[in-house]
Amino acid sequence: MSAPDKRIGQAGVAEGWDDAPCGLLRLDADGLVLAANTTLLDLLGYERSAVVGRLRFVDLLTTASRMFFEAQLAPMLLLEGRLQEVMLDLSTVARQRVPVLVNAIRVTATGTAEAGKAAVIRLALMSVPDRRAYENELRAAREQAEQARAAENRGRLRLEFLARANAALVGTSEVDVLLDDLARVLVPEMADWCLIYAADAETAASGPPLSAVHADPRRQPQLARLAGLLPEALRPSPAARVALDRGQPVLYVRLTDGQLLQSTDSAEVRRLYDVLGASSAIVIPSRARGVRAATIIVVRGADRDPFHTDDLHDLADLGARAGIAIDNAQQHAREHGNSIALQQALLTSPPTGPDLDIVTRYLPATAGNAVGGDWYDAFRQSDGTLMLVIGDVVGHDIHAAAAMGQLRGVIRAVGYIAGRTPAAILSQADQTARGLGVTTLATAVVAQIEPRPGGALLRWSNAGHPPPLIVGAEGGARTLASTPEPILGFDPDLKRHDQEVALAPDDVLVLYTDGLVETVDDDLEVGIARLANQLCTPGTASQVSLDELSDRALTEHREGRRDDIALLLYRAAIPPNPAVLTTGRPERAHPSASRGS
Amino acid sequence: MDDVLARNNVHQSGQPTGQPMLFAHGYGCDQAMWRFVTPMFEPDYRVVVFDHVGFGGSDLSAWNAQRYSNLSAYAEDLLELIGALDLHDVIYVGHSVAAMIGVLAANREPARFAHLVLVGPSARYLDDPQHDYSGGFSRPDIDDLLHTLEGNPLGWAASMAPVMMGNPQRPELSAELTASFCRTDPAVAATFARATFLSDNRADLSRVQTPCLVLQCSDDVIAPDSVGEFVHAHLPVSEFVHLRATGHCPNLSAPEETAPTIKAYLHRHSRPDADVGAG
Repeated sequence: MSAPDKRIGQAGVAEGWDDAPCGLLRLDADGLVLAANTTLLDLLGYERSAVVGRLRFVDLLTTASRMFFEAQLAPMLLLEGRLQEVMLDLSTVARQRVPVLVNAIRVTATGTAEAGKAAVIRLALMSVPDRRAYENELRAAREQAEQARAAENRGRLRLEFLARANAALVGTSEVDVLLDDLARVLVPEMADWCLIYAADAETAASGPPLSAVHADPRRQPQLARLAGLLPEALRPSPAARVALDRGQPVLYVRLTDGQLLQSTDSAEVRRLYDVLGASSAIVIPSRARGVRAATIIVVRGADRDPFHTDDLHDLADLGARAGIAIDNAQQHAREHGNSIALQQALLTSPPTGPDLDIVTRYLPATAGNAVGGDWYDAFRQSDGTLMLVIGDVVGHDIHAAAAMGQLRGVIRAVGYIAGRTPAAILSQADQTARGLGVTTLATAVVAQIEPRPGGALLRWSNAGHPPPLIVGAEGGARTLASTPEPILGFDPDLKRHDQEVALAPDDVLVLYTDGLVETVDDDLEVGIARLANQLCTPGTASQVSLDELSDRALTEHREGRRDDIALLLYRAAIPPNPAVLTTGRPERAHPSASRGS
Repeated sequence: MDDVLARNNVHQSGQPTGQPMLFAHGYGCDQAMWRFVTPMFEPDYRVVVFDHVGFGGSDLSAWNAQRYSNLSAYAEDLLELIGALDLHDVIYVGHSVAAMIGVLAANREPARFAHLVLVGPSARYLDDPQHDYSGGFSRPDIDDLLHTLEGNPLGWAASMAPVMMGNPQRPELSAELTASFCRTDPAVAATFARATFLSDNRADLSRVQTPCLVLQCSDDVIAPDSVGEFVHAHLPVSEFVHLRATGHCPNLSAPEETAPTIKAYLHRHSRPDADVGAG
């Protein structure tokens, strides 16, 4: 096949053309082969006569190389007049692929750059079978490096994710907040949406959904609807049921329509799956102390890669830790609830009477376990004199609540005896508590109301408690400051002092605990001034009900209380019949009669 | 508006108040594809050429693989460009895959377009034996093409890319780019190749309300006769001209045949009121 071809000589090819150490081609402007050297023909297995004047260059290429040449190389050749270092695949007679490295130039007969038909194209083609293999090796190595880097990156992202999840789990002791934080760590990073159901640890029954978060806020209402329908509508397969009961997570790599349909009878649920996007899911039963604490459902839509077993392991791990955190939070919530129940059982209602205007409030702390220390009390002495008490036991737990109950009982008992003034009651309570082994410390204010002509006399003694406030009938508010005296339980032999002030009709006495006047920087004075300000009602104080005043005082404390709050408001009555009062001492045995009712 | 014009490296010539002719390059090169054709229309038309994002002198920082993985993104860009220049009554000339990009754009906003000139169009490059359709290529061919592209940076050094990506307006880089045609980031080329050769726009043809001219080359391995005839047969209003020019790029290899063919078509279809309107 390397027989000499006269046309070479006719085409004016230089010596050495045929046996050049690379393939050589000459084409006309349309790509038709005008000449081909022996090296190339040998490489392709073609007879010269089958190629020259018959085939175009692109006919010698594989399909892909032909596309590449026509779309990208032909324009370059026309525009720039040359191609350099192009890798193409030739196709032999036997359809074998031969990789070649090609250089080409396009020259016109006159040497001008005009795109005319007179141009010829010359190509040099170097067979490079090993280079292709080498390039493939390089490419494989690069891909491997990229995969390793991607894996490393994934590993780092996983660690960061787990660290964020951990932070969410230890960040709060409240179940709602905890589950919400956890959901927001999972979505959108890990999943498109997620549902977390808390289970009551004692019954292991799924409770209401405690957290439902979708990456797309617009889908939140639909997710909330789905959360309400699940898990009643959900019917895991028997195998999944067993796994879940054993505390093992279940991975649905592809939620086929069949699986979705099988899992529920509800057309509404299926429609919501559609809207929310559900193509891959993991269900994690989160356990603590051997029982279910929560069920976490994370779902990805079709736009994302499906969940992988790596995700399953991460989430299983996370689920185990979430279970402990949720269990702790639930335990905490139960204790908190117990403390509040105990507290409220201990706080009895104030006495009532036709002209007796008293309002009491107690708000437990919302943050942490701060509960139990504060109390209010209102009772009559044996002669009918009205006694008002506010107090705060040091400590914020169920023990503080119990101590408060004892101390409150002591003050009631020693205070019931007619003739004892607030200072005497507090001193007596100090000694009695010490004698009975009640070792708690507490602050308290004890106040005594004695009706007087034109109003009443307020007598009080303060054991280290924030000063009471008086909201005047005309609307101004003032604090009842006094020389500070130590708290209860500090020194039983301490001499305490009574203070007195006249109350005009409709004056309101405000007794409160420090939770009401706490400020960010714990400046009690500022807090008290602010409270006084909130209660001021210039001109119309007498028309404002005590309930309304209480609400006003508590407005800012509806949420996020660090401490509990006790509050007692008393409004001085319209002066009783002056004739009865001229004696100077009221008829204590019959207080109701003394009020002229 | 300037954003779009810079993004797509828009260049205008010809008659500022003339009917707009918009020339779109196809897969494999850039607006340089039209350099021998547009001069013949400049005396009568407002000529607009541009580069698709990722190609030629376009703003490479506007490119991302996800957005430009299907043809509709290019059609959107095209409509933005037409909107930015406020072009109406557009004669759109699209080569290769830009023919279908024009079809998509004209279907979305038919009111903008007067004519579509489709040079070497294909509504689907892959064979579809189920529907007895021969596009010319198989899926392994396309995969092989993507490999070929990967092995051919064509002078595109990876180290160059970040410099140009970050400095679309740097004059010395622009100069370098205009001196070398059809230089494309292999990643961009591969994405466009995938978008092009895996596209299927057969269903879009019947919805075209704009009159079309189909120009079919001889011996076009990328868009063979049967493919061009399919396009012509499925367009509601079209004329079909078979060029003597061979290969896939008659706009470069045979401008002296391509431009007059388009011109003749436009003259046949010029509106009787066109001169009145211009006066």
